[in-house]
Amino acid sequence: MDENELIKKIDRAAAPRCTDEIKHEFRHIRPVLENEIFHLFNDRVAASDFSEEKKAGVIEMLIRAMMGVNA
Amino acid sequence: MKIRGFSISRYGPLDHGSYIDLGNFNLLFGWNEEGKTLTIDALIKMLVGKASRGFDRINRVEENPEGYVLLEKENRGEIRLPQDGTLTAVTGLTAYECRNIFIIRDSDLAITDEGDFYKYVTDRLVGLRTEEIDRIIGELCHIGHLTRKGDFQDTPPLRLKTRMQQAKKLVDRIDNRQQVLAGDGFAKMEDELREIEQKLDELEDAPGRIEVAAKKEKLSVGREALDSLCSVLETCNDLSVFNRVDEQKWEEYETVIHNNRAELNRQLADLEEESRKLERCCKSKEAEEFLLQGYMRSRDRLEEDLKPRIATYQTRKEQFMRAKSHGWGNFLSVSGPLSILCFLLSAAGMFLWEQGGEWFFTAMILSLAAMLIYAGFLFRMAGKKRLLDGLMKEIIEKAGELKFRAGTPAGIMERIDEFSRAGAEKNRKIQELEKDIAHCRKKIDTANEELERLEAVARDAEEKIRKLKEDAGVDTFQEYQDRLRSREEHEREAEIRAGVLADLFGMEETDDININIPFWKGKIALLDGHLRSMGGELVSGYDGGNSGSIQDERCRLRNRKQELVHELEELGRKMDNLGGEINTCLAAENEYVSCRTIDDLRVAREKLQQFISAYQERGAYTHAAINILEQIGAEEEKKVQDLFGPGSAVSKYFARITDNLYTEVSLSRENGMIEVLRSDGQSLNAWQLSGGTYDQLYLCIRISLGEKLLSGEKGFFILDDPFLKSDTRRLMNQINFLRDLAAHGWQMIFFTAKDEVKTALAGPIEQGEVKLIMM
Repeated sequence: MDENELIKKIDRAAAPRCTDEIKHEFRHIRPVLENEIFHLFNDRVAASDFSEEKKAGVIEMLIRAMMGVNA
Repeated sequence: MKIRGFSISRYGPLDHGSYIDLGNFNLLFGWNEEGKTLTIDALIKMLVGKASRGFDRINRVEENPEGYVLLEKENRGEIRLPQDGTLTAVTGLTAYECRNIFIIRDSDLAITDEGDFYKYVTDRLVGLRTEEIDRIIGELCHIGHLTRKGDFQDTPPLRLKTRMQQAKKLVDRIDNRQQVLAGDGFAKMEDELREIEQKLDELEDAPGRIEVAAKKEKLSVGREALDSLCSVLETCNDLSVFNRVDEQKWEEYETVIHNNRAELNRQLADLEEESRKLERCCKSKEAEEFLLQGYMRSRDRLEEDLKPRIATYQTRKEQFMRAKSHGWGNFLSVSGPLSILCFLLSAAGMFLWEQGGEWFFTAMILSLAAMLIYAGFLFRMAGKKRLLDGLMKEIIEKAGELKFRAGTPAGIMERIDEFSRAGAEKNRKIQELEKDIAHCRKKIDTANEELERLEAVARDAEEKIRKLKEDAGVDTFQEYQDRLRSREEHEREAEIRAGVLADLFGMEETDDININIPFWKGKIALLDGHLRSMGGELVSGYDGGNSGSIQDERCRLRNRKQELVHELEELGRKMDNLGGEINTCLAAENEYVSCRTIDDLRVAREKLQQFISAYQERGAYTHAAINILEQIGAEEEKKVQDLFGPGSAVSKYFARITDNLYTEVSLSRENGMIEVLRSDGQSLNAWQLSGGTYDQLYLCIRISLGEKLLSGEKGFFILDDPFLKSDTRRLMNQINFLRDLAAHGWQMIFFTAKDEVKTALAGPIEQGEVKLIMM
């Protein structure tokens, strides 16, 4: 999932306000996107039978958590 | 990667000076205190630089060694350490890995913090960090406000779990409240209130019509009030005789009569009791007096007949006793028996001794004379005794006749004394009874006086009540009270009517209704004339016929408005309470809701539902993310297992080194500890192995992990007497194992002080397979 695709998914997430924050702080997301855990996670989410909304929400939560860990 | 050689020119006392060239298998032999351990320390410092601080007891010599290590690495050629950097920089191996895998110091093959180290190695090998996954899960729990078990956190200040529960309850309460409000017709009430206010405004907005209607209404109401007032006052006059003072007096008289009756009954009961007591006392006294008369008669006979005889008997008896015990009596009672004895002795002497017969005869005659005198005395005393006995018999018989039966005169005297005491007792009883009788009579007199007084009081009260009845023309107190209440009600009614009239037309200076009546009559007449002067022009809808209905309508509307306002305020209070709880629940979300109307409730419910849904959704996402991360973590942990287990390199090495006594080495997922499987199928923990086997196991683990870390490239092992605990056979196995590894490209730098190791390697040393370096 590239950045644009991710942003689109996040746009569809249930918390648009948070999405704006994430967009605003995208520079903090870049290290997350480069992390191998994120990719493994992302692959599993993509392969899951979650709804698109839930997929976006779950990924958003992971991004926020990883940003918190990296902070 | 191999160490081609090293040179240590100075490190504490150590001074090898020359360069030491190394082969594949190097045995550095030296006795104790010859610098083996310091050489290893110097090698570590030169290899890993400052990171050597992670090794235990590395600073036995504080300074850094002078010298170098010549490292040979594929594709890099020769590297001179520490001049060209550190082993970590060159190969990527960290000091932590070197310490736990490639360098065995102080004969200790064990791995420090092995559970963590295996995880670390796995992370290193597979390129993942399970610890990082744990940290991310922790952060997820934090931002998703979840506990590790998946529940919502309940820690301050958010207290999400409690608030979520509270929010759900509030939603239910809002639903209930909405149903209640729908049932109570809240919306209808609000609509009705608006309508009423509108109608009242319309009524207030029609001043002209209202003015005329108000005047007519005033006239109508005033007339009605005045007529009613006059009627009521007339009734009041009829009832004027009934008043509170007389009512109170009547009640007091009734109370007096009632109380007197009770007192009278009590006094009568007392009087009766006293009368009975008096009668009993009189009868007792009569009986006692009768008995006393009998006593007196007996006493007289006693005095006349018995007492003189007893006195005579006692006198004679005293004389007899005196005669018996004094003077001659005593002498004769002694000399009598002696004279009999002398007589008998004299008679015997006279027959036995012939020569002194005369003397004995004389003595016998004298004795006989004395005997006769004694006999005469006894006869006389017997006569007196008979006389006394006869007298006593006579006394006893006489006493028997007088009911004083006894066996002796003394007994009779005792009976007489008892008789005298009984007489005294009778007298005392009679005196007491006389006192009681006097007391009873006095009490009876007092009771009679009290009865008369009470009867007089009762008669007086009854007389007064009778007069009140006559004055009021009633028969009972209840009737009087009813009339009085009626009068008071009429007076109140009159005051109300007067109040209405005063509101409508004002008052004279005095409050007296009777004085004000003509004033109000005048005002009504004036208003009537004024309205008549208007020529009877009436406003449609508000003419005289329905002016009352306007007022009624306005009153009705106002009353209904008040009722509605009251009900709505009550509901509003309940809504406010509910709103307070909702705002408390949502305070952390910076939300505020008003709860005054059904629409407000609907909005509040939506906000609560949003709050619940938002956190539930967030929790669900977080939970899903945690599950995925845990799956990833579990799979990574499983990769650690893959380093061990059946068919793994470590299992093969250990089987080989133990001659297949142990066939498998595994890592327990539960406790992160190494376990081995013996050929007989028994599973043992590493710590259950003997010291030698334990060392061999960890040598195998180090080699296996080293192979993995170097990704197939071969490296070196620096070993400081690693097999101290092995027996000779096992030592040979281990050395052969190391030789085998060396043959496959691994470099062994084996420091030892044991001859047996050197002996065991004597052959390979001779053959040049092992390089012996003497320290």
